[in-house]
Amino acid sequence: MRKNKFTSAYGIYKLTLELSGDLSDDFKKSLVCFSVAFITQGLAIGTFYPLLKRLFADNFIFSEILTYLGLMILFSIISLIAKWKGHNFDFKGKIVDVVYTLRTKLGISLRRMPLEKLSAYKTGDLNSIFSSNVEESVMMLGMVASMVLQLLFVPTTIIIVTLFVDYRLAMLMIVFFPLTIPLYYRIRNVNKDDKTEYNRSHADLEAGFIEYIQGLPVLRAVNKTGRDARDLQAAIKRVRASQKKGLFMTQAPFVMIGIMVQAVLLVILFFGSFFVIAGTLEFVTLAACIIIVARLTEPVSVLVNVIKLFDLIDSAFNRIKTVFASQPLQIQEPVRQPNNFDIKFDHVDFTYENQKAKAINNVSFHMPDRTLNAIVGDSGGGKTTLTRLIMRYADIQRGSIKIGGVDIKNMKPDDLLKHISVVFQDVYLFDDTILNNIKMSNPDATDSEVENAANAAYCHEFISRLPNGYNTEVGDIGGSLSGGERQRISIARAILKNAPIVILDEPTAALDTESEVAVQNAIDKLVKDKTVVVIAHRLSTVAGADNILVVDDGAIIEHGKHDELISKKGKYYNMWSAQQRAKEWQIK
Amino acid sequence: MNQPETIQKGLWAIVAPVKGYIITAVGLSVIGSITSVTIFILLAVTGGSLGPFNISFGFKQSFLFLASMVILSFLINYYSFVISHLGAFKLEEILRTQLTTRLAKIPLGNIITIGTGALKKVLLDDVKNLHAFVADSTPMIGRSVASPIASFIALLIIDYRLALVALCVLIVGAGIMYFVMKDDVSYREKYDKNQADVNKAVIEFVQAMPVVRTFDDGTTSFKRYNNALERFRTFGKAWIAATGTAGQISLTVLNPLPTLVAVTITGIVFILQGSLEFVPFVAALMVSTGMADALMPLMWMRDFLKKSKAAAVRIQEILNLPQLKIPSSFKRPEKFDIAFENVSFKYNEQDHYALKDVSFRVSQNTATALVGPSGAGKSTVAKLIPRFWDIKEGTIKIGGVDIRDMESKTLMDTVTFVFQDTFLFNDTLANNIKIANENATDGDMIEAARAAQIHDFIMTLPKGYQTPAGDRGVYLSGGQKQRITIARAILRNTPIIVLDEATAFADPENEEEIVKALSNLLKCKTVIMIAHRLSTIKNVEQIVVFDQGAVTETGEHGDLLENQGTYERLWRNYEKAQTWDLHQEGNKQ
Repeated sequence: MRKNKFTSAYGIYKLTLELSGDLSDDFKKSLVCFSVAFITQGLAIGTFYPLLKRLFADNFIFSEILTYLGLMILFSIISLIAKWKGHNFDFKGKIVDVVYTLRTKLGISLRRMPLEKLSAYKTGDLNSIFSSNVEESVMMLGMVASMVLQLLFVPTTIIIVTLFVDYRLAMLMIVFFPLTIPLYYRIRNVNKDDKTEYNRSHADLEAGFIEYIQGLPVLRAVNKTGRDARDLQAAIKRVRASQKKGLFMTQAPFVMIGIMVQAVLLVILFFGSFFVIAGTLEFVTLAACIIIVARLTEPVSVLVNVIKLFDLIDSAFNRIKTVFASQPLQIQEPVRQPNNFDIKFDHVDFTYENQKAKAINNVSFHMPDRTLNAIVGDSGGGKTTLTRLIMRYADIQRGSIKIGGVDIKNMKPDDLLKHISVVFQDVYLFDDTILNNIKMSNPDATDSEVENAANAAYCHEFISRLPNGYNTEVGDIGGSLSGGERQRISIARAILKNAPIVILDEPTAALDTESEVAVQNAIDKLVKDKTVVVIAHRLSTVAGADNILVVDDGAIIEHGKHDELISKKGKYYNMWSAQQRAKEWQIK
Repeated sequence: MNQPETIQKGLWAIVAPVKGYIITAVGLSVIGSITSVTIFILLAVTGGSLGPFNISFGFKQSFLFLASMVILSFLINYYSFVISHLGAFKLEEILRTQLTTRLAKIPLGNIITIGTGALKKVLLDDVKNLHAFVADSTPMIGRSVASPIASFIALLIIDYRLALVALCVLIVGAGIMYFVMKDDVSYREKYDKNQADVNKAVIEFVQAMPVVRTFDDGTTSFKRYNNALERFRTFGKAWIAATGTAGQISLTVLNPLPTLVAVTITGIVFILQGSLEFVPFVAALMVSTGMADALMPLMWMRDFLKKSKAAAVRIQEILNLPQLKIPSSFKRPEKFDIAFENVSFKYNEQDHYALKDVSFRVSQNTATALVGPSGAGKSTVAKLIPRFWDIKEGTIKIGGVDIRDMESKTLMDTVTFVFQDTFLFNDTLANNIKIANENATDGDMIEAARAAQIHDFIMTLPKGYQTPAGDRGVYLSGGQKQRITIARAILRNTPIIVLDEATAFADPENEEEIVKALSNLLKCKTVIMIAHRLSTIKNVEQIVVFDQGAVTETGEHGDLLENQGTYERLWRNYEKAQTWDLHQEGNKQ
């Protein structure tokens, strides 16, 4: 554990160099400047030894005093200049470049990240990695570098200078200053490991809040709110109790570091006084030593802040690193392009990351080019997983998936996705004009092509009614687009893309009847001459499909056309009859 | 460093409950600073007693005194920290209790609008931010203010001339800082704005990524993201060009070296003149830099205060949300018919009416269906009955009693809203059902579960009703969750049920069971339902048709069809959508 901490400091250094890319030389330069600044600062303070000695010497030589005074001023000026230069890194725009480069690299990684990895992140987590973590870690880099080097070089220089003056005083410092190291570990460990109990109670509290907020309608109905929400109140109290429990452990080292310098001064004075009385140490030297050591108050007192920042940067960098570390899916050689668009699964097994059970178990099927294929079955049975796998959401563990005879592993991800359009329940519209939102799927499209697509998707009419037509900003009218309208824009997008494979995942499930008809019409246009894979709950929608796959527990248990499946009297038949019965239900 | 006064006020108002802790902690840290200065002077004096100077204390006594001061200093600082932390812990508990209590009293509609995520952030992160403010900043503020003043006073006592020299250096430094940073505030605002813009682009890029993958090879969305980064870089450079030098100067000036050198030079001059003794000189050197040292932490404080302030504002926003009005005396309805009388309603801060002059009646134990295109006002009507929002124009009555004159408990015991989301608590299935009625026996619970068509399923689970729901429990499909919430509603047994049908059928594989469950729930109740599957409501006593916030038609299915109005159009569309058969024109062999 302890070793790790040192390597983590070094790791941050290495990672910084790596992340700052072309600017790593600038960063190194700034580190050198800071080192010079703090060594000369130590030297400037160190001049007190000869200066005081000359000042109170019996044979008083004015020129010598002037020399040492001059030396002190010189060191101070060098120190200030070097510090100034060192801050060029953060105050002359370099750091902005680092932020830029880092975010660009993160963006590239995100683009390549396998969808399975991507969906494992909570959106909030990725947001904070991209925005605040980059910000926190990089913007503070110059400041932290300066403080760390100050902590390192000022005391070291002073100890070395003292070594030349009186080795015993230097030894005292060497013995006592390293005492901060265990305290340092204590604090770092407290910041991380020892907080587990606190973290646990905090996680409980978080879960408790979510439950409380979401359950509030029920809780209100049964009068279990506020102080009467017993579980939540208990969780709130538990957090306070765990904080109290950790208080001594966490605070004592902080405070000890705060008075560390005073304690060392006391020790030096104690032993120094013996040396002076014994006549082995000049009184002025002891006085100078005390002045000099007193100067360490400032660098040592920032130690606590340094540690906090260090932890912040450490965890931010580690989180950034996990994004970089996620490997893009490998493309197998030779890279090929399909020239027709049938879809073939051959003995496919797939298990989601961190799960034991197979989500897809030995599935084989063939969807010929330009046919309509439906996937039906209970939720959680694997329908969506199958469509995801066509897009290479993640790599399968066994078997193969081919499009037009080409294994999807032999296609570049961008090429693969070029062949596929997907319409989901959720639609994402960018904060941009409607025109650009549609054009996104085909940036080279002309305005009239966009309009044709919109026409086909039954959205030209409502778009024309908007204040600025196609140039209306989605953000300005965001809330006023209905679910059906948003869905039709996404279908226009898909029509414009004109990909040979179309995947429909319950595109109308969340719509009201009125919008549903329009969206249905739009979909009819979209699927023309395409290889279509559709997931539908309402079985009547897909009764006309060329092939219906009935999925249960990750396996295909039946397949065929509607009539064949009905006559089989199996799962499909049961689902169909249950839906027919439910259809006839009426209140009263 | 001078925060506008309002900021401080907001912050101080919110930490007021732990004022005692804060004042004590600040007081102790001030004493701690004075102790530290005293220790430095004592060091000089004690050291001086060893030298060839005429000092009246003995070394031994003064050393012991010094040592006890160091221990005292530790204790003071330690208790300052402990007390400020204890205050912070207490503040967390107080604020969280206040917030959760408040949430229970404001219109539920507000909670839906703000959203679980945002609320959780306030309850968790913002409260934590204030913890940091109370625990860490307050002692730091005490020290940063007391330490330079104590140092200056000590220096004045030691040698007023040196005190003036140190003060001059500090004034020059502060002057330079003021001069170079005077534009900083306006730039800071611009910076924050640009920062917000880039964050928006980041969020868009990240959030859209999974969806974007399916229609964009990444070029377009990545370009947008990259453009935002470019803009931020350009601005960042401009910002740094304008304020970077200022920052650089202040970081260089905020350094004890200039003070130290100045005091050394003048000190030597005075010594050579014979007007300064050795011990005061040493003491002055030790104390003088305390003035400049203290400025650094103040720099830290700035961002810190800003963060805490923002957190305080967000917390106050929630605490200041208006509560549902509570009448002076409560009334209880005797009957359970519902009447909307000239109800008009606007959502917060919106110009247009969501409902305009809506009037209709629902007789006891009859069913009324609300239909209409999306956005017509159906769900607003449904949400007004359990007082998700309070209306300002018109009245809503149950059994002749204005719902605003009922105790919230009474209203809740009268109306059950079968919600859009099927929310289960992280508890056993039994408790999830029983929460509806604390007095219910296991027999009642099982009966409700049977009526909700979920009993058989529960019995197949190894732990039966004792199976935990949620993350740590069994995986339940949407339909199963829905039936458990229906069981809950059945057990509540309120005379009025408000139901959103669309969501009740979101999980078609359980459709048949859900239909049966609902039939049991709706038996002998006054029912208001938002109907999407128009076929289900053909036989209800009354259909109220909405369009653009107003009631356009009321009547039974047959009459409305004859009217040839909105309902007739909806019905036609409905039948068409039901019979949709996805097919591919042109390529059928």
